Amino acid sequence: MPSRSAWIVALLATACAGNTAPEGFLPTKVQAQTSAYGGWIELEVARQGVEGELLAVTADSVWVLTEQGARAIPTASVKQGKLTGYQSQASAISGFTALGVLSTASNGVVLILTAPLWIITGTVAGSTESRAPVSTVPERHWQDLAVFARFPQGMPPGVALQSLKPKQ
Amino acid sequence: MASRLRFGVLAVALVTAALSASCNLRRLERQLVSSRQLTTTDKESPYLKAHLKNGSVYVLSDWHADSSAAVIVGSGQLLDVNRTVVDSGRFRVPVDSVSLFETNVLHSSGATTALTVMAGITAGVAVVCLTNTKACFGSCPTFYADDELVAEGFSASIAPALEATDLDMLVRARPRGRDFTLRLTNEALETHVIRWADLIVAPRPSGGRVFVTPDGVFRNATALAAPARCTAAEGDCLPAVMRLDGQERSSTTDSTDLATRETIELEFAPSDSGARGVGVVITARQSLLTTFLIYQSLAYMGHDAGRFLAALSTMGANARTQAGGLGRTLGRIDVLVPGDTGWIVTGSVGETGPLAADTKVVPLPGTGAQRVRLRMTKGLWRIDYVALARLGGGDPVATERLLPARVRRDGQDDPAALRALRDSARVLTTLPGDKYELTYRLPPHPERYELFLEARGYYIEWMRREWFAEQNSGLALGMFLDPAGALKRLAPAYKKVEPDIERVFWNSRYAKP
Repeated sequence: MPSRSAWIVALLATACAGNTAPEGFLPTKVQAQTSAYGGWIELEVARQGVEGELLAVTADSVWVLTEQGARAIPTASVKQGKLTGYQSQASAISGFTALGVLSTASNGVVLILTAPLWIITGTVAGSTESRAPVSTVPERHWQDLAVFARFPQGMPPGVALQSLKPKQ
Repeated sequence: MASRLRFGVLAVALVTAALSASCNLRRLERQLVSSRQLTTTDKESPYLKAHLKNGSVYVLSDWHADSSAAVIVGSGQLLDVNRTVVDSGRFRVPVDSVSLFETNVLHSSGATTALTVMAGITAGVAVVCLTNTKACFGSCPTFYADDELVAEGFSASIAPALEATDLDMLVRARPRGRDFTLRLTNEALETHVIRWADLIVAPRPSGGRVFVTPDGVFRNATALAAPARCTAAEGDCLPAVMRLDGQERSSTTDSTDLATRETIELEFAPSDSGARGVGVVITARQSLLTTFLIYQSLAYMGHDAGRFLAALSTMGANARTQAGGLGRTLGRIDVLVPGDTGWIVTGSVGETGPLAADTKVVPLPGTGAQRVRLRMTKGLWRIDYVALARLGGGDPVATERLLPARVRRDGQDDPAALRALRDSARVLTTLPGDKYELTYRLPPHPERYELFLEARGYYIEWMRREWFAEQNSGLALGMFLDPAGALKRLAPAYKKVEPDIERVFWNSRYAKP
């Protein structure tokens, strides 16, 4: 049975749009407008997986609130990372696409055209949607991830890491 | 009818869902700006987060900056570093206490736009098919040369019992070498059964062409001359018919009787035909009236259509003749010349099918004619070209039959299809979307030859769900036993779809060449 850490590394390696965030952790797009928590970040550090809420990030450090508590990790030690800012609604697009394909039954002969068009459009749209909330390094700069950090301005001075609590 | 309605409702529901989705599946754009750049914040953001230097954050709605931009005013909550609510209400936040402002705006996304467009297309097609089910594309085998539609095969052969041979002049084909390729396609919901598709080549006379008569006799033709005058109900029709250019003369059907006839008067300049005869060359194709009537017949037959068409094989020649009554009532393009007691019919041309125009020559009696009348059903024929030609006499034109030398499908040789097309005891069966390339080896100097396509076979229309709603045995019988009456009864229905039938027909083709 692979460890969770190995799962994280494996998921990062596949570059898929999925994430390891706990159920209900990520806000929807609408909720993200008012949520003050950070996104979910998964990092590969020295062949180990690290995951948790993104607290803050600078060019040389990334702070992650893991299950074991907050950690400051030098970015130089991170091989790759993936931040998911909010829930994608790819499943809604999949459902909508399925409905669209079904609805081409109303098109008679032309469904031979419209049904594949729905499938192609839905697949592309779903793929685009699923990747919209995701930012990865090294493809992006570390500072780019700050927009979905709990403290986008950087770790506030005087805040003790051990005092930070995870999202309930 | 109920199922059509259900599908229609589904399509409308889809558009509604698309509009709803466009609200929910939007793109989130989050921006951070420093307090010094407050004026650049996105004012469209319904919420403003003010991240303080100590890690706390205000989440404000109904926010604005005061006139000096030194204070942000808004309602909401103040959260500490663990995002516990510290305070709530109406706040005035000094800008200089803020490290970063955060805005979030939901924009419409490309994905949503694409899905909404697809929903619109689906609903649009659904509405078209619901309101006009007889206009969906149907074709019979179509043949293309250099991407140009040059022939359609045996269009009237809608059942095994009606298997027929069809000879089409490839009037616009221009071979570039000795290998001449035709692309055979099945572009509709039909099963095509092709017994053969042979090329007939005939050497052209010097400065002339070879045409075939309605009886299938090849005739050399020279000195082709366009009419000097062409007059029809709408007035001058000469520009439409004087050149083989795809610009066609057509008309609309009568609103009370689809069999109502019209005439076109042609005048030719006097010519010296010598001792030989002349003939009228006509390039024409049908309108979609025949397609409508075939589909209407199938709709009336409904679930019994297959049984009826299959029974034609065993019902004998009389029944098959009766089945063709509708076509005979509509008639072809009659060619008339002045006689001693009035206009007399000297021949007729016109084959079933709305796609590719066919060219035939009708020999005229005597050695010359200056006035010719064409008589045809209103709204049924589209005439591209009319000319008077001097016809060769003497020995018959020596033609040569060429069987396909190579058949390819999806770029690969298809030996089974080749065998089928070269052996008249076998057939090539094609299904919707099938495409074959048939290559023929022409004689040396192919530019000196006229090309004709002789195809034999039949095809079977796939019944459309929408048609079953109109099943009516009485009306189906009426189409065959009283075609003249049926053409009167159906006139209002056809007039309703006639203005748009061409656009709907071509738009509903599901397989492109």
